[in-house]
Amino acid sequence: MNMGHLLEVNDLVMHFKIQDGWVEAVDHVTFHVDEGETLGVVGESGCGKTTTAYAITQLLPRNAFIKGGSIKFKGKDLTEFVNDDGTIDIFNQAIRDIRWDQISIIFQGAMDALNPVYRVGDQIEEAIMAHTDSLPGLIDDEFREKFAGMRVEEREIARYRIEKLYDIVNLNRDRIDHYPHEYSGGMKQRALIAMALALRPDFIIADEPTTALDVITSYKILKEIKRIQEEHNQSMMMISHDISRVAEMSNRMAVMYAGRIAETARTTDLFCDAQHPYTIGLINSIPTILGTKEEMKDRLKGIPGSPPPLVNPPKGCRFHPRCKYMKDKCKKYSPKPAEVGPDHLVWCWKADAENRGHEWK
Amino acid sequence: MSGTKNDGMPGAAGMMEPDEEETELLTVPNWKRTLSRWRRSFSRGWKLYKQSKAGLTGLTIMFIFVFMAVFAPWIAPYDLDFLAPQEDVFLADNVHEVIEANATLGLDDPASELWYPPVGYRGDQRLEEVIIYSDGGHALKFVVDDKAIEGGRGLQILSNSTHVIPQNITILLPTTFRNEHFTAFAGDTMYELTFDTFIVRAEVSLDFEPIWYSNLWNRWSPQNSEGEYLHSFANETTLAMCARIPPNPAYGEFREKRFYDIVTMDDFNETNGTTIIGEPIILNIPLVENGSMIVVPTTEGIAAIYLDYNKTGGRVRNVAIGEMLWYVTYEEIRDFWDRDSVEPIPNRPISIAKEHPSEPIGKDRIILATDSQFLYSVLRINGTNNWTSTLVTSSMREPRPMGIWPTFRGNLVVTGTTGELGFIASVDPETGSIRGNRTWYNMTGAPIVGRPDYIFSSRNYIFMTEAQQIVILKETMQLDATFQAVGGGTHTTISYVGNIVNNVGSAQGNYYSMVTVDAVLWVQSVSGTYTAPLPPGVYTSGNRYILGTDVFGGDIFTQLLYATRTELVVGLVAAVISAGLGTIVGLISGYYGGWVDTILMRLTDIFLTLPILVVALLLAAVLGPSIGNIILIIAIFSWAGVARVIRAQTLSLKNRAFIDAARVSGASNRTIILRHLGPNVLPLTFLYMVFTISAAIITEAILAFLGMGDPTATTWGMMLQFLQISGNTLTAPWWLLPPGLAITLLSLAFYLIGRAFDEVVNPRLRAR
Amino acid sequence: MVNWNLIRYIVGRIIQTFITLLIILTVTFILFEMLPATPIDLLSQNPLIKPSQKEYMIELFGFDRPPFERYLIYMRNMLTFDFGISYTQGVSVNDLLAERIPRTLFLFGMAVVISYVVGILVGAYIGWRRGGIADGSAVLTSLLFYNMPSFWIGLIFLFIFSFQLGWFPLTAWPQVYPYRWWEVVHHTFLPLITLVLLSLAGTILLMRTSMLETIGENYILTAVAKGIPERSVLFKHAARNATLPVATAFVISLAFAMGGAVVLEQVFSFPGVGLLYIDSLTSLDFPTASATLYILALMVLIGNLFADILYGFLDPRIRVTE
Repeated sequence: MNMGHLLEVNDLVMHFKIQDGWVEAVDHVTFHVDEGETLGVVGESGCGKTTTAYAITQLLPRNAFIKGGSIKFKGKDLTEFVNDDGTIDIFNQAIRDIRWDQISIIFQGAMDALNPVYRVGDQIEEAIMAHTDSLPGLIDDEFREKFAGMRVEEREIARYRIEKLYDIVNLNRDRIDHYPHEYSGGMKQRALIAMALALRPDFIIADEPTTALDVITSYKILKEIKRIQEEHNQSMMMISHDISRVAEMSNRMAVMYAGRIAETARTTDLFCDAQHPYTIGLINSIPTILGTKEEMKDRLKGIPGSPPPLVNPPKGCRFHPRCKYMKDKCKKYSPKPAEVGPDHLVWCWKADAENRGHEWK
Repeated sequence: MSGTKNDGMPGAAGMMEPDEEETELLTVPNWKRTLSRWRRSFSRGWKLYKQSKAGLTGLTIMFIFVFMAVFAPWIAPYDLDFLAPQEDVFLADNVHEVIEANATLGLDDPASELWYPPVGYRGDQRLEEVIIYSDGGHALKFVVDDKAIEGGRGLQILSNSTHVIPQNITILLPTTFRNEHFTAFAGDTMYELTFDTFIVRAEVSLDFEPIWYSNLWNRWSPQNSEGEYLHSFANETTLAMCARIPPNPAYGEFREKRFYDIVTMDDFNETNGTTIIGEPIILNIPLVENGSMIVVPTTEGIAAIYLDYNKTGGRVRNVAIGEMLWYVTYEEIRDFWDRDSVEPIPNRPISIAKEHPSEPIGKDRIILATDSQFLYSVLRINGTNNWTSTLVTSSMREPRPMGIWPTFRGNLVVTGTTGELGFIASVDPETGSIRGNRTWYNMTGAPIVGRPDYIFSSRNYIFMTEAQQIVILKETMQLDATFQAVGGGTHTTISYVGNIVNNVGSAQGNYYSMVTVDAVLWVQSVSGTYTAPLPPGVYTSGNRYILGTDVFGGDIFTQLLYATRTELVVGLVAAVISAGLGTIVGLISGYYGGWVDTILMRLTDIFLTLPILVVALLLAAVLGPSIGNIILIIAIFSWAGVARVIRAQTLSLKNRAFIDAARVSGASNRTIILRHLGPNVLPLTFLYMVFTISAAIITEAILAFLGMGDPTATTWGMMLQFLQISGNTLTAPWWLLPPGLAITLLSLAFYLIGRAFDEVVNPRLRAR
Repeated sequence: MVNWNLIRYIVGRIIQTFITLLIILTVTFILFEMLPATPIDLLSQNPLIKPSQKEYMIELFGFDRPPFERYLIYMRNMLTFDFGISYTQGVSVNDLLAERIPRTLFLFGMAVVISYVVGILVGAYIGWRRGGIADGSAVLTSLLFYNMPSFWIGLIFLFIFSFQLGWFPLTAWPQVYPYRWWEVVHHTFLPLITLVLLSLAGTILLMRTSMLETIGENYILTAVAKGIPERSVLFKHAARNATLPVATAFVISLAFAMGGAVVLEQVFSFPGVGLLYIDSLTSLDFPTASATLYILALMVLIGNLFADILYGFLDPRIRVTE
């Protein structure tokens, strides 16, 4: 696209300061999301997926330091709001205006993302009322018809919107005035989706939205998200450690490992032509019911070991301790992105070498 | 131990090691393995604990206090019962001198005579004369100067003189409030000697040898309508009253003594069927017109008899000579109280007191003491046959009352003893309640000797202890001064204006202690101000009191060190008991569930809801003050919190696999609780034990402060309570601050240790 | 809309409180029976009571009856607030209490309310801004106050503010009647502030810990992500939820504050129920002692009941499941 991407994260470096030093949670991360597109972000737990996503709207703890890079959203660099020393003013007015209004998040319903002491409807209303500028945009024809000739208060618009949202996510309107503990897990998730949609944001971050749900509910919810997203033509960033589930949802995917991007590609490219050993490992760890016994045995190998701690991570390529293709170079130098195909970047010395026609040895 | 490692989220790695104990518990217990497991979990815990700065601070403070407690005898500059020497307790400007007044002028062999203790005459403001006398017919008079008023240097002897007095005089007292003469007794003869020169002004034979002369020399000595002063005498056989007209122009010439009434004991006993056994007292002369009422203790009760002094021989109320005006038997008093458990009044009352002179006419109050803590005050309303009794008591079982002394301000001063300690209290005779701070004052380390006296000029009570300590109290019964009396010889009285001051005269900051050794008068006189409690510093004796002294001159720092021992013991024992109790209740409640759980948890709730301190005070009153009881009380009121936590932990452990496994393998409930659940809740028990130590230290202090502490123990709370009752709260910050700071720091130390340990035990807290 | 769950919850709490009260009364009855001196010894301590009156009173209070019957009478008297006549003062205990209860309620109630409101606000603030100088100094101060014996702070304050600086009178209640409110405030300020500081320390520490735990909750992240202002996140979400554990601990705080009130009444000679209690206990004035104890316990229990009911409104989860 000529006019550029909707979201463009470039070389983002975000570290946490702790007693013993620095946690290099997001290290030179580069990716982009186009309009109407869904980017799936996968990786094991603790790889910095969520942190990267939250860094976009600077939903970061106080010990977070953005040390470099840019986050361009609709052409505007959000890192402008970062203080000079890299610290973040989490309640900066400018960033608050963008939050939810333009970039919202679907939280994980099972993890107490809803405040237990307030009615669910009120919590959605709170989100809407925090951005009263956007209220007129929520008024549709039906609303005009309903309240024709009447003075309408802002709260009524919000209320109308919430009712609409409940319809969209297939929740009974009676539930608006219920408390979170009166909701089932699936309903909570739907309510959170409704909340995320409240202000018709351009960009939605879905943070493991179905992780704690049972398979059937999870399937339903994901279908719901996909439907809504397509209906409203919204961009989305979908975070999950379950590569297969994300694959169904996304156009493009980014694989993260230990705070860095390992590989980004269109979903089909990624599955057909994975280059990074880690991506290959992830794909191979998907259980399958097809294929011979040998094939299955071969595929379900997974990756030995576990991700490194992000305090003093391995030098060079962070995956090298677990990589079976590891060479000396990998230990010393961080890999540069290699464009192995259209819109397909790999951060791996082996892929880089092979891409340039060298043999990896 | 297979397959459980690292199946959790890698991000959470390092927060909580997987619990290896569960599986190990299933194997045969092996002490070596247990030991190594304990060592492992200890070193793991220590590694986590070390990260907490607050925890390390707490541990450091605790070790300092433990060090103080263990090495108290070596660190402490003095013994626990050390008192600052006299030269420190008085300001530097004072002079402390012992005068040896050897004024046996012109006497050939003074040592061959028996010399009686000094008698003093005190003018309005100061001691003026001191007299010692012998049975050999000699009196030595010392004119003294009490220069304290001018800020001078204490007592000085200005002159002395020797006088000849009648032989064999046993008692010599300045009489009546003008000190016009001395009254002296030698056998059955009563003399009146002139004040300046000891010339016999009158001499009368009493026909019997008096033993008791009670209340004769009182300022309020009874006087009849003719202005005659009345005297009563008694011995085992006779009660007698005589009168004398004073040399007052309004009443004419000085007249010889004459007797108006004499009642022999035989008469009395015959008439009344009882025997007089104690010192008589004269009551309410103005009421019994033209007569005198003498109250005497008898074998069976208290009797008031009537003596007539009217020269016309007229009688009131048709009471015959020697007949009882009223009579209250001990039996009746016991019946009045209507209870067997009330101590019987001993046959011989310890003391009978005359009521306050300003008391409305017509009331006679007699105080009787039992051997227990009870005193009975019998109020006899004259003119009627009604009487009533008041029980004067203290809520403490100890000490035992030893004597009751009336004062001129409406109070009774009651002295008591526990055998080792001397106690004093001010009692309201109307209600029997103890005035002031509502408690006996443990003022001395030894029983109080004799009668405390009240000194008008300085409004002080003054008394002496068996340890020769002279103690001066303020009117509020708070300690004003104390010093050691000069040793040896016969300590008795200096008298002035008819009142008796024991051993010591005091005016305007001067204190004297006098003693006769043979014919020599020894005077210890001290002037200046009593300065204890002393602020920190180095004093005359060269002693350094790092934190100053208390009101007796006891070293605060020494007390602080020794108290640490008690505090740690109280805190630790109370915490162990309460944590143990709480753990047992929690385990049983959590494991069995059902109605056991319901009942135990309701009980726990009640203990959590109770205003603990309020009920603890009542329990302390029930159990009596001792360290053991205080520990018990703290334990009783602090187990509930532990029980709640342990129950919650038990509930979560109960459904774990290893408990199920144990149950399936046939372990009994007891085994499961003791062997499987118990060890797993132990860290929590220990944690709450640490918190309880912190609470116990504060609770002990509060109970002590409210007067429920153990008076024989040295604790920080008792130090503060003593500060409070000695009345120096607002003037002795060096005494106020250290115990409180010590309580705060030790409590804080255990609290910090608890918090740090909490983070080790509860990984959730560490995640922050 | 009637919320039956909430009503059931409140009724349950009331019944529970009543049962607790009965048990406390029973225990105190037993304790009073166990005291070394008995009421009968003290009944006639007041010389104004004649033997005939004594007999009347023995009969009236039923001291000639068996303990169980006495127990029933005691319970009846206590529950009907018929406290009898003080042995030492010879006046109705109800009269004695009538003027003292408002004072203690004032001291105790004000201290609890102020310390809770301030404690929650301060705790919320320092929890939110954790790690700063304000946090450090507040925590240190609170820790110190939390571990100080109550009477000692009272004495220190008396020493500094009354004796050295002379800002406040040494007596904790105005001498002259009628009391003017500013005199009452002036006199009661020191005991009140001492009690507030004592209770405040615990509340701040608890609220701070609770805040730290709450801040880690996901709904706080949700709130921030919604773009609402800091104040709303702090008070509407973090502090609001952090209050719940603090409200649960209110039970213990109340009992603690009551203990503090009793001690401080003693320190400051504040003529309240607590001072009367200690006085009557040491002088074995049984009717007064048992009545004051009952009143003190009742104040705490009613305070708890209020807290429980308030909690029912604070936490919607309570309204559904017990």
